[in-house]
Amino acid sequence: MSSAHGGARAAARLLSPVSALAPEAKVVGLVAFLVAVAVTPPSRPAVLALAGAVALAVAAVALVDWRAVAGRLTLDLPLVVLAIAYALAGREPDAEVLGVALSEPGLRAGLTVLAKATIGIVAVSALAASSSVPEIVAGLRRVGAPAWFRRLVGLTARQLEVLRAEGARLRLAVAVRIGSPRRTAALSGGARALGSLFVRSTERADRLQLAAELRGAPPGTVPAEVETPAAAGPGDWVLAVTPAALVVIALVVGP
Amino acid sequence: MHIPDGWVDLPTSAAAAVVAVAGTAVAARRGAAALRDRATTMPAVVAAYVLVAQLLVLPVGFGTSAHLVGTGLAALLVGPSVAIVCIAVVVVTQALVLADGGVTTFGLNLINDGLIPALVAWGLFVAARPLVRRAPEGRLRRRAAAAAGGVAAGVGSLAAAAAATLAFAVGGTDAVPTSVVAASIGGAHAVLAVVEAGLTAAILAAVLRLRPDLVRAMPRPAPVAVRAPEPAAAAPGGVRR
Repeated sequence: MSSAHGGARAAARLLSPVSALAPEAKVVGLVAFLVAVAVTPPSRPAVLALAGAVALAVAAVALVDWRAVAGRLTLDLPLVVLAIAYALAGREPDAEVLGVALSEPGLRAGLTVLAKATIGIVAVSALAASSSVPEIVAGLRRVGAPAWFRRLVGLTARQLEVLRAEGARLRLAVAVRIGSPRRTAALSGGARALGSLFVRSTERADRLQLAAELRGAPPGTVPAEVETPAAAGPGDWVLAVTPAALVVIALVVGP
Repeated sequence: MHIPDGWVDLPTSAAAAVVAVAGTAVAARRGAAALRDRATTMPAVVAAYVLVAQLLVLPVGFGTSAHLVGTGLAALLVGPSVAIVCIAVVVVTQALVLADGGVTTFGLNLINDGLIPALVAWGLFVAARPLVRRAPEGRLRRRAAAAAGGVAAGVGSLAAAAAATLAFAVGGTDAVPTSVVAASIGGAHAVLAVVEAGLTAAILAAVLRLRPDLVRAMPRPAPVAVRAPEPAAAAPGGVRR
C-alpha cells in the first residue's frame, strides 16, 4: 500500500541546494520566471537565449535527471510541427533557409513558441526534481490556496499512484489472459479495460480513505500535509525570484 | 490540446484568464458539496484519471497536440461543476509539473479543456436523456446511454476546437493566416472527436455495467423492487473478451 503514498519516490529524490528552498518560494519563483519568458517578444532572441541558459543552470544545480528532461521534451514535438507549419504557411517576406524559401515572420513566431516551451520544460523539471508533492501542498497552504483545492491536489497526486498500480495489474491480467499485449489486442480490450480501471481505482481510493481514517487521521486529511517543511525566509524568496529577475532585467536593458 | 505560451497575445490570454477563473469559481461554488464532502474521493479519482488519459497524445495535426480530453467523460461521471474544478487541477498540474501548456495561457486552456467541453457534453447528454430512458432498462439502455455520452463528448471536443480557433483569430500571431490554423485544428480535432467519442462510449459502458452509481449523468430512478445483481456485476474489474 505504501506505493499509493508516493513514499518511495520521495526517498529516491536527491537532495540539492534547490530542494532546501521553501516550496512556496520555489513555486512563486517558477511562475514568475515562466511569465517573464512568456512576455518576451519574438524580436528579442537574445533574452530567450539568456532565459534558456538560466533555466539550464538552475536545472543543473537542482540535480535533475536529464533522462527525465529528455522524456519531457517529447511534449515539444507538436511544437516542432507547429514551427514547420508556420514557416511553410506564414506570410511574406520569405527567407532562404538551406535553399528553401520559408516565411520569415512565420519561422520566427514558430521558433519562439518552441523555444519558450523548451525553456518551460527545463525550468519545470528543476522544480519537479527538487520538491515532493507534500512540500508543494504545504506551499499551497502558505500562499493561501483554499483547503478543498489543496485536498484535491494532494488526493489527485496520490490517486496517480493508485491508477499506476491498478493499471500495471490490469496489464498483467490482460497479458496472462490473451498472451502478449499486442497493439491490436490491447486496443480492442483497452477501452473496456480503461472502464474497469476507473471503477477499480475508485474502489481502491475509497478503501485507502477509510484506512487512513481508521488509523486516526482526521477525516479528509491529505497525507501530504503531515510533513511540513520550513517556511520561506527572505533568503528563500530572493534566491527563488532571481531567475525571473534576471530575465526581466535583460528585457529592460538588454539587446 | 494545450495552448503553449506565445501562441496568442497577452491581452487575449488575460481576458481568457478572467473568464476562466470566474467560471471555475462559479463551478466550485456549485460543486461545493461534492468537493467539501470529506468522505468522497471521486473528484480526485476523476482528476487523476483525466490527467493520465491526457498523456495519451495522438500525433495528429499541425502544431497542436491532440489527445483524449476526457472532460466530457468527467462531466458525465461527476457532473459539469465538479468536472470543471477537476480540470482546473489537471491544467495547473500539467503546466507546473509536466510543462504541458503555457502559464500565461492557463485561462485559455481552462476554457478549452474544461468549461466548454464540460458544459457542451453535459448539456447534450441531458437533452438526449429522455430518449435514452425510452430504451428498455438493462443492456440496451446502457448501450444507448454510452452512445449518447460518446457523441456528447465528441461534440464537446469539437466545440473546444472551435473556441481555440476563435482565440487564435482574436489574439494569434499575424504571421500565419487564421484560415490555415483553423483548417489544421479543425482537421486534427475531427479525427480526435471520433476517437474521443469511441473511448468515452466504451469507458462509460463499462462503468455503467460495473458501478452504475458512479455515473452522475444517469441517475437511477428509485428501484421498484429489489432485484438480484446482474451476472456481469459479479466480476468487478474483470477484463472479458
